[in-house]
Amino acid sequence: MGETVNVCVHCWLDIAQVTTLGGWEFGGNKSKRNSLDMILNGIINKWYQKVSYGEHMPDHLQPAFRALADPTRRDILRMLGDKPMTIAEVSDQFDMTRAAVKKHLVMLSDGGLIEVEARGRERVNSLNAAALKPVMDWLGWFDRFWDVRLDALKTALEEGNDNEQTPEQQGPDND
Amino acid sequence: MNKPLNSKDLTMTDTTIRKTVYLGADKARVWEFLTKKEHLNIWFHPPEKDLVEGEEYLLSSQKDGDRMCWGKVLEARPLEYMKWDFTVGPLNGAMTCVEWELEEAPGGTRLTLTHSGLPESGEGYGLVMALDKGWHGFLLNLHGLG
Repeated sequence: MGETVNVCVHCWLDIAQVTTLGGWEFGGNKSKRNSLDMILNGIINKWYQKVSYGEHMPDHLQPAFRALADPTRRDILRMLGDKPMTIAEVSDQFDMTRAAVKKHLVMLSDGGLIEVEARGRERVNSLNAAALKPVMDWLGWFDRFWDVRLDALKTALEEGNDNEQTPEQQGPDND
Repeated sequence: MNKPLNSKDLTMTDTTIRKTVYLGADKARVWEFLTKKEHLNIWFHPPEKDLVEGEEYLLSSQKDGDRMCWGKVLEARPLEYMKWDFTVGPLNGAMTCVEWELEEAPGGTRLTLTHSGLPESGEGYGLVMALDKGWHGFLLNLHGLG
């Protein structure tokens, strides 16, 4: 379910336009989440609460956030941040099957967060820190944020000419 | 390196965003959209009240009332210029500076937004406080990418 959700943290301030959050899956399949992950999940989850569907979604980052949303995948990323590892090496660190690890690695790879390089018969996974930059970068974040906002302002001004409200018409707050 | 946060120079610094849009409305109308509660409501988020120089503002979510953006209106010269202290939740307390400049343009208004004082990549990011040592490693990598 979570796999089909369109997510975009850049639009998180647009929650007025959120109609559905649509089955966001939040790392719920792991029992061994530690408290740190709980906090991290709380924060990421908060962002996703603000997520909107649709028009302004810069969806190129969507796979990256999906990949980051799972605590196991974040653990894997941390390990790969220390050194590149093969699937076998990653599997050794987790209480799960190689196939399961492989699935996670595919998600990370789809998100562009890791690079996979064939070395002989082995495939070595390494962290692609560059892919994390847009996820972590304030400048890029606000750059897109203001693009969206200024577009909305332009639209509001253009449309507003037709249904202009006078302040006197305001009702009691309708939030 | 120690650039003032509200630097008015025209160069794009590492931590400054500058955007200009042409709007098909006169300055008075654009000003309303930047300062009036019921207008901000349309394109941004509803403030508690109209924005007034010297007063704090808070833009809240329409949906759940969460505070979204807040700060203080440091300066407001009607129809010309406005300057805000500005922050959002994930900035984790870091204050930034947002400036709005309105200029008359043929058929409308040229609006320039300048957002300065953004933390360097990663710094101040809401994630940081929840990050363990592994994540700090990431952030170091990210800094290196500058």
